[in-house]
Amino acid sequence: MSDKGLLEVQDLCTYFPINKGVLRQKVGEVKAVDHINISIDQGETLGIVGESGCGKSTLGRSILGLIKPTGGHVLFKGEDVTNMDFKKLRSMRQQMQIVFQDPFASLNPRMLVEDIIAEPLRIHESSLSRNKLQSRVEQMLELVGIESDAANRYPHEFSGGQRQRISIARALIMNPEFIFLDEPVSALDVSVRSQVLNLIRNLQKDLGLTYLFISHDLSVVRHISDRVGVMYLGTIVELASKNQLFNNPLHPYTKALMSAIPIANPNIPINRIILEGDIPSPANPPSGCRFHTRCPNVRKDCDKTDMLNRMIEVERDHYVSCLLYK
Amino acid sequence: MSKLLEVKNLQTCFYSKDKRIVSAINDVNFSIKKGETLGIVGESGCGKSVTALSILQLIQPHSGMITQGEILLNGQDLLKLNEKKMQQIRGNQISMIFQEPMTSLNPSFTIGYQLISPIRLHRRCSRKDAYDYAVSMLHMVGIASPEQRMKEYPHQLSGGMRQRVMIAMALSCEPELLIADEPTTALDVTIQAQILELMKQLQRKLQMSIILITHDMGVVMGMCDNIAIMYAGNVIEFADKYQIFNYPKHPYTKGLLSSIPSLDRDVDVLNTIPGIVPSISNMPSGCKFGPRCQHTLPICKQLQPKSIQVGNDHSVSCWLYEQEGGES
Repeated sequence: MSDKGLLEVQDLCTYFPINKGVLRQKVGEVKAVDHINISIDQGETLGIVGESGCGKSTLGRSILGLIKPTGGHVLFKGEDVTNMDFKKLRSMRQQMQIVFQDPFASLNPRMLVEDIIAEPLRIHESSLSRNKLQSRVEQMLELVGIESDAANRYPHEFSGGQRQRISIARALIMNPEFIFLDEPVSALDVSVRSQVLNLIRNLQKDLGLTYLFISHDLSVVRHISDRVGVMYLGTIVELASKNQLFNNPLHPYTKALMSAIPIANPNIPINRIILEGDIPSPANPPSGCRFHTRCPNVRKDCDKTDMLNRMIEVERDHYVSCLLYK
Repeated sequence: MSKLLEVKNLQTCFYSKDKRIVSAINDVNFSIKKGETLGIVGESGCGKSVTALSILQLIQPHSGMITQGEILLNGQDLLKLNEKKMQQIRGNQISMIFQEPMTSLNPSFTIGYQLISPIRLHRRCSRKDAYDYAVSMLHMVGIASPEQRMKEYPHQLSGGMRQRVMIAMALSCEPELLIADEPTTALDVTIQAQILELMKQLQRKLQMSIILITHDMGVVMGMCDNIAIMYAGNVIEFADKYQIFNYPKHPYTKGLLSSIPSLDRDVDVLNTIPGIVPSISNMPSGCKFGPRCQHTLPICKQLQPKSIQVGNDHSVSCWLYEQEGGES
């Protein structure tokens, strides 16, 4: 991995305690993010795919410091975000923004669109005059393709796609370098989804943004990302460039995940690998390789060898965490 | 093969807040043969679910009603039946799986209780027989240790398992037609693959027809024989899946297919359909896709196009093909 990464995630862990009983004693922990190492270069899009509950969103939120990680470091431009004091973290957040999944829940219904978009500016640049504020909001609205009279309306007057554009405008107003996109198109209809995806891509080209893009939809991730990481139960099982991953998936989970996607083309014969069973609970993950309970290629030492943190470089920049490639 | 279900000119209306009547679906026509799978595809709010609910007459009387049309099951018009007769058809000849496996099971009864009641209702058998049958159904849908599960409550099961229970329940009376309303939308892809595979297997085994309602083109292409594309309350195109994929006719179908990012090739900019789906209380006049269409003719704004045959079992509602249809 390159050494001039904009964002460097080292050994990041986020555990949630499970408390039980009258005294709320800690009886265990959910290892939502377990020893993850990734780096994102300037201007790059790293896509993370995985099923629900695998820790994708927790990873992103831990990187932004919205959830305090249990261990490890997040270096943004060489500075450690994880143990920064609140004041410094807050100014750091100008450069790191987030777009949430559900555009119906992430915009305050009682605030005007103008106020929603201007809120970050009010916090970080409180000395700005009202006129300046307005013109910045208008600029942002134009950038995301919404007519400027929208500023004086409320979120409920907009459709899902337009609301997601407003969320993007809010994230962009501080001129951030890094944006964490947490399933930004999953709640949108197909015909609107492609509009928002194109917008996200164009903004990256025009403004030189760096993205961490999370989705459970592999075709969307393929469309938007440069590199892709596949997550399973809190760990990254495979990390490679988009073409390497999609043309030559190595980890049995990645293979199964790809074959499970319904393809919108009846001319292509389907050859599915159907995984048995459900995803194990992250509170009690299987020993050894976490995928071994569902893996079709399981070997006898898979349940004993701890694969955490062991990424094997099979080809250049193509990492996989699986004993088959040892 | 004879037609199992035929829907003709179906129209369902709802009362809006200001006491106006708005139609959610209009002039819907399609048919399904025995053992066949029909996919109904469309975006949210296009009337897919209303169509399904109308077939079973599950529209709440105070919120809306079926105003026009015929629903023929084996030649018998369901709309002419009284409530008691309809009750015998629901869950027995036609049954339904709903989208949210989390909310469509009753949280305060055990899985066993919920499985046994429809069997007892339609089959008139003893409690013991019904229990044994329910266990065998759970076994058939691939649930491990079914006797144990019979005693458990819905919250103790995962999403995929709950959907399996729903399928077991829907199939327990060996229906001729299964209506599946977005059965896998709430599930993860690997679980979705399991459930779809299960539905296919059971379909072969029980020789039933399936109406699969979804917004996911991928799911439809993998599962269905015929596809009906819905937009703003109308079926705008109907054909078999190869026709739809290889030779789509309606501009909306074309737009929909090309706006899906593909897994096997890279595209720089995705095709988009400009604008948004119109709301049902404020429909444009003429063709409802008109304001978003790139090939509008003057007539599109005035009159809504009728469904025209453009090939073998391929019909489309679009003025662009009016001439073509007239010639053939």
